Amino acid sequence: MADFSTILKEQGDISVIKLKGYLDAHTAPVLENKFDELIKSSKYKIVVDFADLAYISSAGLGVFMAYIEKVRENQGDIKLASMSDKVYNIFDLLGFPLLYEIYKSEEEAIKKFSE
Amino acid sequence: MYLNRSHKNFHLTTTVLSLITLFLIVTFWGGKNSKLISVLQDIISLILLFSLTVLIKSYIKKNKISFLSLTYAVASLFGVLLIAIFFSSLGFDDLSEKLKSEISLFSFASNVIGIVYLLIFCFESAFAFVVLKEFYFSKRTRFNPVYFQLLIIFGILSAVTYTLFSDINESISTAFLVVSIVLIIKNSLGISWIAFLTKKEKYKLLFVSLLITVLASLLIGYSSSQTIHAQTLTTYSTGFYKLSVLVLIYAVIYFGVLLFTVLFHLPTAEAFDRKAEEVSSLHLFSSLINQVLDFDELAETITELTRKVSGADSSWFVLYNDSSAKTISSKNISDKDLEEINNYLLNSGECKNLSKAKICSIEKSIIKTRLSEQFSSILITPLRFQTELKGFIIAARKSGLIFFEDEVKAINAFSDYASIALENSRLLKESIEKERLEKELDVAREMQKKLLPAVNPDLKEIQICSVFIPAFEVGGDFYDFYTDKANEFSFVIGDVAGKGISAAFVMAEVKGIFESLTKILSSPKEILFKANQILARTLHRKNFVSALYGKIDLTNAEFKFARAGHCPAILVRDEEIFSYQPKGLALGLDFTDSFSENLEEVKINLKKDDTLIFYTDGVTEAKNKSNEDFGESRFLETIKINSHKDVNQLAKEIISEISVFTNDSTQYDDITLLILRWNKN
Repeated sequence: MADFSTILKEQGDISVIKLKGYLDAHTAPVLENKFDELIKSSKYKIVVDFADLAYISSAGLGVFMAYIEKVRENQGDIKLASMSDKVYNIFDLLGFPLLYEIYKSEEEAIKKFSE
Repeated sequence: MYLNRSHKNFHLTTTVLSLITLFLIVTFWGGKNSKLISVLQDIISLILLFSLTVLIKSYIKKNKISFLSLTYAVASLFGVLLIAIFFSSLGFDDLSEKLKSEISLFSFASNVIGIVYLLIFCFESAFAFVVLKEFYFSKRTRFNPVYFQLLIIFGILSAVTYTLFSDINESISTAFLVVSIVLIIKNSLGISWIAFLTKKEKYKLLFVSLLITVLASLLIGYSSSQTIHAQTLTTYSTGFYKLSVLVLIYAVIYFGVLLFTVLFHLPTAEAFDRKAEEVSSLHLFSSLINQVLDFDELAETITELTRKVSGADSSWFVLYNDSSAKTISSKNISDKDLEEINNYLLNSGECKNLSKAKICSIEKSIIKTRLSEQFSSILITPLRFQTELKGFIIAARKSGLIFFEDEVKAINAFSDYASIALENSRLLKESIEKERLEKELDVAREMQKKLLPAVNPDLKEIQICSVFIPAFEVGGDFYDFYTDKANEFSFVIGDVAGKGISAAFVMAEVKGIFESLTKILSSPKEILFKANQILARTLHRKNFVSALYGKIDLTNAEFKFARAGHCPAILVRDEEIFSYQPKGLALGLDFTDSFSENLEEVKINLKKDDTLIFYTDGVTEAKNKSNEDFGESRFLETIKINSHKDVNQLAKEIISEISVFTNDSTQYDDITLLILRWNKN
């Protein structure tokens, strides 16, 4: 399948991971590495920007589940932002909106952290 | 073997016999100027020389003595002879007189000394002759034995004619001698074997050939006819005396020519050495290809060959792995120095777009001061496979020495071989890994197949059709039917997040859980809630499971279902489509009460010919070549058009629509489709 990449951007103490391409079982390790890095350097306030993500599979969703507990234990959160309708539907189908805060835009998600 | 030995023994016997015969001749006829006896002496001494030659030659051949050692031997022999002549002139100045006198105790003793003396000289001549012959025949591009054979013939002729006609006319012998010397000169030209010696060996040869030329010249000087040495030899055989001088002349000329040849070769000796080293390294390159099985060994060889090919002090190579460079193997350099040089080379712009080997001087750069050893010149070559940059080979020289252009060329050629070998090694590893994964997937596929129901239940109230198309990597889809309870039909359809063997294991576990829960509980919501609780103990958060559990009461046509994060349920009634997506989290995401708080159960009273369709995301997310999804709208449209058809026909239409859409592109996820049709009023 097609490629997947991430761009990491720091905004104060908040880390924004911008996803691009196709997130599935094969590309999930790329995102896992990013989360590992952030947690290793004790950065627990994370916003994930989905604006450029074309597709996410269930294995891709699994990545968020794998880290959410650890992040929340450390008074942080993973907030999701800028999802396309298609990606949102996949999250919605599995009931993810119950577990994660999902925002229309990255800025909104960042703002929520400082409240 | 025996024949060889007897052959050798024959020559040894001949040698001894000839010596004894000469001894006897001199004892009895010494001093008599008989031509017959002189000729006889010449013939016997020639036989003696010949057998000695054969003996020496076979010894040299057997022990494979190098040319350089042979020249040492000649030099030492000549040295010994000079000492022998020196002592003979001191000790027995009247030896030849005594030899020629009547038989007496004195003449007998002198004869013993004389014969030993003769043997020494015979040996010397034979040895020098054999060595010169070996040299002549070595590495001749055009094999031409005629000139050497002519030389032997003319040499012997010159010796024998001297014995025969010296008192009449010496000129015949002299004529033959002149021809012999001309042939000697001709045969001494075109020495090619020294080209293959190393620089050090050439220096040695230069010294030895000088020594031999001087010693042989001195020996010729002492051999003039008036000396005791000459007279002693003449007593035994005039012909041999002449021949021994001829051999000495040959030695002087040959080694004289050799001396100058070596002298002219010396300036290029080093370059020649390097070329020879390169050639031998090139030969080793091919062995690289055979070492692809063991990556570590290959890395070791590449580093070692780099050092040899470039004549460097240290060498190492780095490979890129996910854009970070990693040093694989190194020789003669500390880790700290290596890191410093790597940082300097790889991060400075110099090596960014390197397509060929390049010499980088670090003489003036700041990192030189940070290195623990005095590296001065660095040679860096990119390792490329096709156009992709794989890494770099780096060689370094210490103490002010720099790299040369020809070393750059050699390293360039070498890096091509190294890249191929490394790439082959990687491909091999990959294919082994791939095979392992395929085996694993075979197991997973087999498991999945066994976990799914072999046949659909046969019920008069419900027509059932199930389609399952596995993805290559096993997508984790599962479904099951339960008909144990009277008047009740239940089923589950689900999808495990993840792929391969781990997904297959979770499937097995989930199947077991549902199978037991369906026996003790009856509400779909309760069953899903309980299943989630059980999974909390074992399931990794990454491997959540979406599931839809449904139950049809066969007596009152009541359908109840709950959805845990699974795809919606579809009802087709009177060609109208209803999609149901009640609230519900996937199993394994949340183990608190919020799971059950957010789980809805839906109840539908079925009418005759109602069609219920359940599926997994493999259906709606089936992709075509341009990565577009089959999608829900196409799916529902297909259902609508074909809803009046029999369930099996309907399933067939849906699957064929999907396969037309995907048009042979890879199927990434399992496709599962369950279709139920209510037959009762």
